[in-house]
Amino acid sequence: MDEELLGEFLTESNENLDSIEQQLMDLEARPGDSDLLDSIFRAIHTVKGSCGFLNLTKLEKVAHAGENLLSRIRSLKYMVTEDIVSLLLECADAIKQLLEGLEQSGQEPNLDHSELISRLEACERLVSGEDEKNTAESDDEASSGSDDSGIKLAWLTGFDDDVVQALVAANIHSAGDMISAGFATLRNIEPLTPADALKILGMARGQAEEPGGAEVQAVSKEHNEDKPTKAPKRKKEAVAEEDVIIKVDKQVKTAEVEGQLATVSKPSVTAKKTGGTEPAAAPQTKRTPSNASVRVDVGLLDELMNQVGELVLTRNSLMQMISASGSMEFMRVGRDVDQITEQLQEQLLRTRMQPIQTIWSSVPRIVRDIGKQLDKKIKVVMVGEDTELDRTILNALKDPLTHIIRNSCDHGIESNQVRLEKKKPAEGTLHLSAIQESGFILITINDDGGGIDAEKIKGKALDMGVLTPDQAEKISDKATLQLIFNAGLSTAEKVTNFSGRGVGMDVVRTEIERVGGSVDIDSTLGKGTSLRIRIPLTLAIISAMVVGCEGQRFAIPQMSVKELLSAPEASEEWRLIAGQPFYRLRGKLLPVLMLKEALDLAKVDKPAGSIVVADIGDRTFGILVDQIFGAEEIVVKPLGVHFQHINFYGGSTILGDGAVIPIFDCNGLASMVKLSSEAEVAQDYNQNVDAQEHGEQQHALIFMQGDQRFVIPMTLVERLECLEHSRIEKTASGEILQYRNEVIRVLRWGDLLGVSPKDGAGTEQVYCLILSDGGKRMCLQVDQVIDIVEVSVEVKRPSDNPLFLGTTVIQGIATEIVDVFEVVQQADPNWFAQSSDMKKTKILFVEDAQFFRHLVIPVLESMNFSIRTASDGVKACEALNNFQPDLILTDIEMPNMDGYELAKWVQQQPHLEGIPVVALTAKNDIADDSLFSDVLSKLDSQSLSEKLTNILQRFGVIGANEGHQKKTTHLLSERG
Amino acid sequence: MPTKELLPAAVKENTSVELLTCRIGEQWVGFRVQQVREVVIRQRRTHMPMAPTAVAGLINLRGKVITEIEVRRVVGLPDRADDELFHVAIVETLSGEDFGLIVDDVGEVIVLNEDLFESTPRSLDDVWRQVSDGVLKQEDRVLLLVNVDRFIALTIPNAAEQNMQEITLH
Repeated sequence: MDEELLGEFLTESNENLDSIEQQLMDLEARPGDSDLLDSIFRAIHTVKGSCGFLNLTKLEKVAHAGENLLSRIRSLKYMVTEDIVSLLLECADAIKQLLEGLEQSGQEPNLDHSELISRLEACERLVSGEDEKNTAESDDEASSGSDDSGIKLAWLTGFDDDVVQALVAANIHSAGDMISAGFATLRNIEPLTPADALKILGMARGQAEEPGGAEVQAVSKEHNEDKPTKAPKRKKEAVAEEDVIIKVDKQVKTAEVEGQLATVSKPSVTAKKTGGTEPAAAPQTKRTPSNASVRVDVGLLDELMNQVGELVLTRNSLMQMISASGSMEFMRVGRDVDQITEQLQEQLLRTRMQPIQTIWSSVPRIVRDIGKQLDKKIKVVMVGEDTELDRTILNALKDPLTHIIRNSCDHGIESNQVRLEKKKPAEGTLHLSAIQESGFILITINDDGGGIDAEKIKGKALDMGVLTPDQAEKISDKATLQLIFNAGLSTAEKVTNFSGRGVGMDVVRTEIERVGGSVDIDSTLGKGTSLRIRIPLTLAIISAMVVGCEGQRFAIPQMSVKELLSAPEASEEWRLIAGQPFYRLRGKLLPVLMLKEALDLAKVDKPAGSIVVADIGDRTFGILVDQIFGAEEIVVKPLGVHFQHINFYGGSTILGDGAVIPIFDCNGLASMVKLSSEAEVAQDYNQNVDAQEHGEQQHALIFMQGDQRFVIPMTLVERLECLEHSRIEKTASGEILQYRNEVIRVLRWGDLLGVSPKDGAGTEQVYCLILSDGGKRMCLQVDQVIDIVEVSVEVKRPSDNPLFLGTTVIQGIATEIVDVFEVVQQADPNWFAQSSDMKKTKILFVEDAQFFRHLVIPVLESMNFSIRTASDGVKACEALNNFQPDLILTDIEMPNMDGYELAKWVQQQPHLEGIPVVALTAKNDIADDSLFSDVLSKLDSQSLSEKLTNILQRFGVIGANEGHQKKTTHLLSERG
Repeated sequence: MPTKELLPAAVKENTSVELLTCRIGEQWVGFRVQQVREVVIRQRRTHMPMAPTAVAGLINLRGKVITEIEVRRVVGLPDRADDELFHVAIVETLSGEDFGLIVDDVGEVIVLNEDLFESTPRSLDDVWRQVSDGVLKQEDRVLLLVNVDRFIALTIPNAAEQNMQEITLH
């Protein structure tokens, strides 16, 4: 058999079949759509025809049976049922199977479809039988008469019965008749309009040109022998004719403009595999007649990619040499070469891009089949299906996608009954979306099913030893959900046919990460589940940051690099928590990977160097390197089999100087940042408190007092209420509000500032911010609330007033940042203490980092201290002027006045004599510890309360037997 | 040292094999020439941290990145001194990936009748036994016919856990 011929046949048939599946499912939803039916029929018809010519007897038999059934349905205008569609789908599957086998071995595979064929034939008989029954029952002669010709004129679709009858009555039984009748005659036939006549003529012309006219179909099984041979012999023309017919039909139908029987244009055959080559439902075809495209062998494109990759490398070398030469002429030419290569690379990359529709096209079918077998109704919504991705990535995503879809249908979406009980629409929805976001494609798969129970996962993880009980207590729900990607975890209650044990999510993640992507999962119990896949746009050539470590160079893909930091040893931002080095960056703690240690190149005593801040979607971390050389465009070369198991290498590349350097995979590096549960939770906590997920942006509330604007981070603001002024009641100790079965203190912001409210006290309604912390609430009454915004709250100027952290600029206006803790403290020093006790040990806690304040305060609370805080030495001094604590606990490194200076100052104050000053520091050694009564480590939170108790006993602040209540729960449990 | 052995044409067509002889330590081995692309001298090597022990590093061969395998390490010999010469035989495996096998010395190409090879003696070292397709007793040495694919397989992690099997001549 002629190889080339076979190849052509296979390509065309595959294309035809691709669209058939979707069209059959559309037909199921719209059984009366004759356009669809026509389209499906023609596709099978073409396949069958070509088979005959190529002597592919098995294929021909199957296609033939399908074609017959379809033609019967078509001519009788039979409304197909789900079962018939299923049968036709089976037929399409069988043809696909045969084609696959043919492609692999060059010969028809040895498969027996005789059972399917007899079912198809039986169905055909059924369809005819039913129809005969119908017509027999009908007494109307006209209808039976028209039935007969109706069959003959079956190809004349889209017209009412009376039109057809009228034609028959006018003795027009065939396309030929119509053409000979001509336009003038046709339009005069009642009830045809001129537009109808035009359409009919157009279709008649198309019909006349179609090989294998409609007349044959309904009548007998045997079709004209010469038809199949005629069609494929002029194989290209056959396709052309099909296209012609399609175009003519479509154009006729859409040509509301009269007289537009558009001339047939050259058929366009496209190399791109799109989901539907014939969008039969839409009257508009996507392909314009002028769309020229070319079929290209994929292997050829890959070769071109390789060559261009090499060209890029060579160009890099050349550019280096040119700039070294200093010659102006060379530089000019070099610039041209540079630009041209750049464009060549870009455009070639585009040829490899295909719309995601390519892999999404199979989804409706999968969902339909599963839906049938599980008796669930599920609809599929796809958005952004023409978003393009590199071919290789598409291939890698195909299987994971199928698995995810299966999971959603199987475990996610509930049965109709359950859904109705839950007051959800009976039909479940599977929503797929793909959008491009600067360098990334974001694919979301969302179902409105039952969601995932984080508790169950936690339980399973505990059972499987994936989580320790400690971790399980502290882990957030969102983080728990990500455990699904952990191998060996499955919450499916029973093993089902489709998605196995619900496992394989680990494989899904591996596959996605293999092409440089990332995936995470989110779910709301009862509402649904969402999977988000992030994929880098281009594959082979990427921008990378070249770094140096222990004399070696490495490349880090630029798209994971968020920023670069200089981190000398002396920098005060280094922190060590539970053995993991962190770097303080704009108030957040960044875990930093000691690269040279991780790679076993050297030991790190004191971290020093430069930090590459990497962002891999759900985590940010730092990579400590010796040097940062700069960004370069590199060609990614895959590493050999010896590196497949090493997850932090993502490939290798050749630099301009010929040196080979490894490329890191930031996902793999991230897993090397070993965080003990303590450090991890500390970091999580910090990130939750200080910033939202997407960076240092926080939600903050802007309010006004008089003319002045203030901003308060929303972290502690539980609710914003607008209350009637009368609800605030005066008591002996201040103002209170009865709020949700509690009596809470009310502070007036104006009072705190010493400013009277703008509108006077007579206003009916007042704004109240309900602040909440650790179960306790208070109310802050403000003048006017402006807005709630998402901003990065940056102190532009520090403030003298202890109530404020400083001044910032929001929406162009200077705004004071409220230090909530200070506010609450000043107003109610007992806020952090248990209200029942009278006698409490007073402590002044001096610490500038909000994080550590939040860390330590709960411990102090649990010890029944009455706590006051100050954010640096200066504020501490101010506070100490009118507050005499029993103990001063202070950080060392603080702005304005550090711990040493504070200790010295305290020693000089007569009214503070005898008060122990205890240092609380992250440093391992401090300069002058004689200044302090004791030095405690911030890292040792466990024994903090013990040690403090000891100190207090030592200094006689509390009696020897008076142990302070020490909660044994872990430091952060209250905050978790 | 025996070189080319001329055999009757009929026999030659069926069972002759062309080998590139190389020396690792004291042992001479033969690689099937079909699998050897070329032999190169020392190349600029990139060390790959955390790579399997047998991997010496990566080299750039005319734009292609190739993994270099230190054969001495695989067979348990001590590393050679920094100034000692070596050669790299670039071989192609069935998987399609190329590797650079670092050997101490490269000898001649010889053509032999495969029938002349005997089964690998048990007395031979474990590792050699695993990769050997047979031995040839020559005048002053024993030439080991090395199966390149099996050799590479040994160097990949997890290979160590595989059971060692008796290697017999095809």
